[in-house]
Amino acid sequence: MTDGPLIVQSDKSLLLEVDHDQAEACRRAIAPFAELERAPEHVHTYRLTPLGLWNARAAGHDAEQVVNVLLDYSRYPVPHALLVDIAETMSRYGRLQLIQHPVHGLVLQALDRAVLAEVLKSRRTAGLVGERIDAESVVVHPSERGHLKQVLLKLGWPAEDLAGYVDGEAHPIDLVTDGSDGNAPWTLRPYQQQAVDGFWHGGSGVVVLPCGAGKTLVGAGAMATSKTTTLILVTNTVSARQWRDELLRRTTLTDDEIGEYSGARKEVRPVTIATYQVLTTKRKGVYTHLELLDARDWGLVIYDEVHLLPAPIFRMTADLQARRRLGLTATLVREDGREDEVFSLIGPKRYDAPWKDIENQGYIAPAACIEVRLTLPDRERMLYATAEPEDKYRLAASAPGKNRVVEQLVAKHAGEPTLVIGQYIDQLEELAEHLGAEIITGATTVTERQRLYQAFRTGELTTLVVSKVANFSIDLPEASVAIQVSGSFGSRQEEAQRLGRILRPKEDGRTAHFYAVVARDTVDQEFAAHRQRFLAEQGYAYTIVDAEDLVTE
Amino acid sequence: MAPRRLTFTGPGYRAAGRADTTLADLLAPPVDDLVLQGDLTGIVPGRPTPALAHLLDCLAQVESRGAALTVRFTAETVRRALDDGRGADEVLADLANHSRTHVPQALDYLIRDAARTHGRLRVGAATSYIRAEDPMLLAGVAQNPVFARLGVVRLAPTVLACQADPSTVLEALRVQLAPTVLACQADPSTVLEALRVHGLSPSAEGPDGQVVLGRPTVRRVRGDRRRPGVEPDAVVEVVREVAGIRTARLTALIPRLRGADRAAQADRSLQSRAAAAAAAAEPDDGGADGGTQDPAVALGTLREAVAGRHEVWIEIVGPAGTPTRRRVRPVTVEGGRVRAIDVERESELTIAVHRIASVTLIDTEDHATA
Repeated sequence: MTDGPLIVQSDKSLLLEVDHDQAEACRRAIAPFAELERAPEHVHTYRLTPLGLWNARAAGHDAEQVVNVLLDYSRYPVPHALLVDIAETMSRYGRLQLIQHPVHGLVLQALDRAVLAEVLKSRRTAGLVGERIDAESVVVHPSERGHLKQVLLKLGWPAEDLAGYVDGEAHPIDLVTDGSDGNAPWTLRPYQQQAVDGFWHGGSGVVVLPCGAGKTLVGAGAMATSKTTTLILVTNTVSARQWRDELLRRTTLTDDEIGEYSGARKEVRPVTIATYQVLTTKRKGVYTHLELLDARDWGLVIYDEVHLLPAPIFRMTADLQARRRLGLTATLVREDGREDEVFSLIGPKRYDAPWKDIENQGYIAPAACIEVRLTLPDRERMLYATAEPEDKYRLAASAPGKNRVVEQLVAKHAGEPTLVIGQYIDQLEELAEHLGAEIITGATTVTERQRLYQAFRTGELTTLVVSKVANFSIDLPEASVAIQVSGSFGSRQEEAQRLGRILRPKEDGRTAHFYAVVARDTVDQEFAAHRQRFLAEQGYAYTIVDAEDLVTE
Repeated sequence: MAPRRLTFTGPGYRAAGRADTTLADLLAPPVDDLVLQGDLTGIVPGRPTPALAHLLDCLAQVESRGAALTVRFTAETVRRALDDGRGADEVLADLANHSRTHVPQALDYLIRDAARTHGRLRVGAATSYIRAEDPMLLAGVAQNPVFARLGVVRLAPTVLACQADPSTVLEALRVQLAPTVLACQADPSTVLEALRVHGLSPSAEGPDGQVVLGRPTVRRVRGDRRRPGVEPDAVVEVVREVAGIRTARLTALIPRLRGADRAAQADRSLQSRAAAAAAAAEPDDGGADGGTQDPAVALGTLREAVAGRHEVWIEIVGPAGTPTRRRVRPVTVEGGRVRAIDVERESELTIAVHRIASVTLIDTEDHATA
């Protein structure tokens, strides 16, 4: 028994006491192989998963090292079975390797003949591999590189991809950091630089950074390192425009070199930004825009918001295995549980930094999360109690009493840029009218949207009511208060995005406020509990106040 | 606690005292405090002390065990503690005592909120109720000492519940008694369960309107059944004594059993009917002492009874080997089974023939006079 900060549970979770002297060293030691599951104020929970252990193997750590770390920092004896399990899981990675053979081209090579025999016998690898060269190697069809990796992961024998990448078409790209373009001089933040390096040395993979931590710059950094033609896949048109603006401002790229491939425009240029939506558009059962992927000899493919990648993009990515792939995301959690596809097709996690760390370094704003509980008047409670189950959430979420609460909150933060976020359009319209604020919904045109965003940026507008279209990738630099009145059933992802809206650092270092207005004793409150848990797990202090107490504060 | 005995005798018994302390030396000392966190979890960094384990047991659900214990507090688990009769302040004070840090606001709010909604619905059992349009009239009933024995409780100005049987059912299945009272035909536990499933937090109410705590039945390993102070040697002595008595009884019984068999064989060679008649003469110690009747004779008697619609005394050996006597009227005898009607109990029974020990015809005249 030692005095370490770590407690290893038999269910493969690791409890790290953060106030311990060795906590920081321990965190650094376990970060490569354990996934941070939740990070509340005192004890963080990490989890050992096969994917995490394989991630560590891909990054060059071995089982001995992992076991050593656990033994070193653990306060109590570590269950022996767990150590054996770790060693066995990790030894499964890399027994199969994908290599570039001078004669046969792409080859699956085994360090363990039995494993090769086992996977070749499986029906799932049939058609993906070609001729057997000898007992240890078999030819792989280059087009099936991604599929094979996917299948091997599913079979529990993840292959190490050593086959390398095509160089792609060279194209000069540099970061402009000295202010020669008229902007203030800047540099990549240390963690952004580490993320770029981590990715580049690993070849392909995913960088996990919180919203507001400057993922776009990591992308730009990767492009400047690669200096090749780049395909950037983003979630929607607004996001595409923001990438474009950011690249123009931060790199040597000019307007002519950046193309937009979306529903509205179809330009293919050395750097092309395409939306998921246009790529997954089907006409007569075929994806009509897939030729974009072969339109140029791309040297780098960047996936923005990897946790949202639609299934067809995964299939396309499977065919892109010879190109470097960079995934950017705030969370590896996918509500559909396809984390393993991200691992096998885009690559292992190459860099990860917890929100709180970056906040402590002052790169993202500190935030206070407050849930305001509103007691419904008797008439509405009766209405709610007798409503059909499917209408209950809507009824509770769009309770008229919320208007007054929002009004009070807006008044309390008068002058600060405030976003009111909601799910139901009619509720939002009513709110906008009540507050006398502008509203952005799915029906708002792109130009109108950008006009409003611009007005919000300059401080002309201080309050903006937005629907869920603004959930992703809108870049409002100075929003410091977010008030959410309704959400999509307590989704964690949505909460992360909404919180991200206000986390960009404030010039005066002020605390951001994140309010959720919730109707008491309804399903609304239950969903809020779900979101509350997510925020608390991310380490944000969470307080609950009664709407009646707001006025007196 | 006194050291546990492993066995009565043997080396383990003598070493037990030492093993106890040895084990305690090997295990990490129990931890009496926990870390409470804003995401409504708590972590005991080690093996909790019994007091802490008990507190968490009734207040939270365990998320993971191992070297440490992590628990999660939910509205459901807090409700359980409240059902157990604890109050919000008591629970919070207990937590604060054990917690290394202050109780997070979110947890504090959760517990207070659960306490606020807890028991707003009350469920109780009333055998009947009295309703009147005029509250004054009911007040008279409730106050009248004459009705005290009814166990009358005033539910609302216009409703009384009684613990006495209702003479007639006046209302339909589910009646709204008053704006604040509902009567149900289901029993309280069903009602409580149904309400809980719907996310409500009711508590049970006794006949006097007070809250009844619904503690779950605690099952524990049955303790040491020996009386305190009795030494193992003495117990062994008693066991031996008891065993001796049993052996003596059994040895005495064997010749009697054998004798009964012989007597039955001898009887068979004599006139069977005579034996049956003799048995009928003294029905109280019918077939048991005289052994079983010859099946052929018994069936003959039964067929006779069926034909004559007579009643018989029938002795049946149950699955446990114990004979019972019943007075029945046989209806049919076929396929190895006898169908008969028990007139007194107004029931019909089917008896396998091999279960029948004896049959004795009852004289109808006798029956009529009896």
